[in-house]
Amino acid sequence: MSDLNTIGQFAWLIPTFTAVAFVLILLQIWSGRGGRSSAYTAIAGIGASAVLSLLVFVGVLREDPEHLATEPFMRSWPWAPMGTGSLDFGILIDPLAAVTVAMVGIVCTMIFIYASAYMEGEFTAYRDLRSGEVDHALGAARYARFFAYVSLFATGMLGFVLSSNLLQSLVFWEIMGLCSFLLIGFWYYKPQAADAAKKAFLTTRIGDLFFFSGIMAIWAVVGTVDFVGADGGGILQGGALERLSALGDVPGTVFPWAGVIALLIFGGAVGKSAQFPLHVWLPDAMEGPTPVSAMIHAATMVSAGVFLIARMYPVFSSATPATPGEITGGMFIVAGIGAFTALFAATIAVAQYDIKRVLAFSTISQLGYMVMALGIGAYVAAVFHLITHAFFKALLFLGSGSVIHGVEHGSHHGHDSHGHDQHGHDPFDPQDMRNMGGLGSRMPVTYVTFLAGTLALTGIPVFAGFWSKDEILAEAFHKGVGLHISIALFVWLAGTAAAFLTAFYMSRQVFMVFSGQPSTKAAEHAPESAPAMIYPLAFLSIFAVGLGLVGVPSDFPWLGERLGGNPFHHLLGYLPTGAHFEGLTFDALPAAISIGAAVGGWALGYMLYGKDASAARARDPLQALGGIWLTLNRKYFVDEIYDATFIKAATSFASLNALFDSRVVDGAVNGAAWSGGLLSRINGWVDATIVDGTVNLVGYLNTEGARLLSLLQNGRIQSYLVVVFFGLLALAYIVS
Amino acid sequence: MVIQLWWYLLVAIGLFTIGLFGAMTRRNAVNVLMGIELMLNAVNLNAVAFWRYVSPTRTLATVDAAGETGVGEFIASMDGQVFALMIIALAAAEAAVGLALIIAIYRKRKTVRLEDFTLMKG
Repeated sequence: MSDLNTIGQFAWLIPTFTAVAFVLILLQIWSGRGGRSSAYTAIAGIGASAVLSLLVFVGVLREDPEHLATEPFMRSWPWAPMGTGSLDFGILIDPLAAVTVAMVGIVCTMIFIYASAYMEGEFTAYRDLRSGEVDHALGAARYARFFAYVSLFATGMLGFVLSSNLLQSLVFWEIMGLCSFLLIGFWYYKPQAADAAKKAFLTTRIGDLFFFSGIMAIWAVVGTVDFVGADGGGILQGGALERLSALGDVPGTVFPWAGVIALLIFGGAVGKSAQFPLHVWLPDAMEGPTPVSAMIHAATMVSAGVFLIARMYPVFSSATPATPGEITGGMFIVAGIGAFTALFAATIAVAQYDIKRVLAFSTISQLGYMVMALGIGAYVAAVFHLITHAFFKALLFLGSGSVIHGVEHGSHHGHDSHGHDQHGHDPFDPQDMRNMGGLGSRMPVTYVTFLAGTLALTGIPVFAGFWSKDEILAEAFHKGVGLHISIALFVWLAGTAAAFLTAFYMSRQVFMVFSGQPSTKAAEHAPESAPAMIYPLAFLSIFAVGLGLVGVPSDFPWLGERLGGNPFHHLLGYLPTGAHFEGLTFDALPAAISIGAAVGGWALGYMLYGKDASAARARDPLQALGGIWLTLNRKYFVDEIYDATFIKAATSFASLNALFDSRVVDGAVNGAAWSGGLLSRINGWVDATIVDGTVNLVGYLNTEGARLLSLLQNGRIQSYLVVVFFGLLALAYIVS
Repeated sequence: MVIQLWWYLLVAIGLFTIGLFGAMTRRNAVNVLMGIELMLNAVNLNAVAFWRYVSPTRTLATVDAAGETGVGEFIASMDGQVFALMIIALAAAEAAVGLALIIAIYRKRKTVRLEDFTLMKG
């Protein structure tokens, strides 16, 4: 059963289960039966998908990784037959897809279970927007709708990971984009949520445009979009890559065309994975319900961009010379943007107050790590970080959701009940960390699990994040310092600085939320969350603590040997081209530096926030930095810059168009109408006067002539007789 | 004294003229009908007179009562007499129709004065 060739036959069911759940929930909503059963339906769907993806994963573990990477398990069905081939819909299972799909299945299942409790407020306390009355029927339908959306989302992610070609990837990619829009705007009656949904949709759409252009470019060059072809004709295999690198350089530069194509694909990843400069949507996406933040905007969807780069890695690296010691073309830019984003987002996270916003910027920063790792060729490390990060970031987001939930309940307890804050004018913000504090003793499970996730994220040894992050930094160190590659050195410096900042802002968050005395009544009365919320936290924290152990370097002192010699690297170490990534020999220096950075960040965090958390909540110690603090707090004013440039330009252009429309176009239309009217008035006059006059004249002449002639008919028979008589006489005269 | 053709014609002219004058001038519809009868009979007189004097003849063998055979001149056709008979029949019909019309009109309008019969006036 666990043989890949057997279980793989059923792998298409993985995204199908959730799709079926989506349809079933829609039917429930339409028949008025949406409610708790919808949550169970969704959980059953994703649970089945998760079990099946784990079975597939086990099947993959039994295969030879090198063989499976070069000749992955594939099943495809023709979708759109074309002249020389066909566009297919299919599944492709290689180590990368198997690992990712297992991660997505587990994380999503936990999030679904968590959400069934978290969204309870929607169910019980949804208030009609106009009357303010609690509306149970609509609330139940909205609760069900949430699970319909997340099921569709899971379908998108699972289908994306298992896609056998780029076009199919794009289809599922866009399903995720749609669900992201729907879920960020789930509380659409809040203007911020509606705006955030629009912003996310439009910003990622910019990236998708690049992605689609990239697909077309690859189609034009290679003639197929299949990742792996039966006869080695896929875009990730030798022949296609040779054709890509044979394109040469862009005229007048040293930049290869293959790099341009890779960067087009990368554009999609920049949008989806919120890399600079398209990162702006992700923090705002925190307007959505917290399970959505956990699922889409931390664990899975934003990872899709990184997964795309990993999947297309052979194309990215095809333009880079095989000789080690150089990183050029697309890879160079990928590494640069990733490293910049990692550091840039980490600095912003330092100065945020919203508990979810800190995590959002942390996500951007960690995605930057993965992207820069791929840019310097640390493929395995990037995928490793992708997997571990998904677990502990989902854990952190769900933990923050638990905190928010608790504080919200506390606030209802503290003063009289407001129900759900859906009208947006409740001055109390349950997401603001300044309103928290002292929650460690009130929400112990949340606290412990959140701490586990934080330790994993900050790269404290043994926890998952340490191994994956350290592998990236070690590789950057090796290439930057050992091989003197400047971009790798930059990546290492940025990564180390970001690691320090990560430890700092995460410790700041932990201290502000959990330690000291409660700052508000709400925090004072915050209860621990429901079992359905804390069990997923506990489950995920197991991964946050232990998952890193599958990727411990094989020559790590004492541990490496005992943990099977880095099974993760062994599994993921091969590309479809057959290229093999050698594991680095363990180097204690970068590991020590990154541990130092993490511990340093924690120490600074403790000094500033941990010693007197209540005072720090009252006034952030970093405010002493003045202008720098403001710049960080306002996210380098990127939103403002975009508002002042692109959005202003777009709206100005739109109003210019509106002006053109109302003046020129409308003027032309109105002028045409006016002259038409004039012409028809002239026509009407001619018609009424001349044509009708002529016709009337004819009629008049006829009737008048007839009237005159009829006078001859005087009706007196004898006068006719006279005429006849004299007529005959005249005739006789003429004839004779 | 031999009666010449023109004597008949003279009488016919007289009759016709009297009839025409009556038809043209009388106000009473019955009088007009009488005028028309006169004109028709003038025509009859003409037809018979011309038949008697002008029609071609043929010579035929004859046998008289005593059994004597001989030769006689005979008018070749009966045209004139037939015409006259036809016209008399026609005149009778015409008089019948005309009088019926007059009676019908009289019943409706209580008059037989022709100048009142102007329904067909244009």
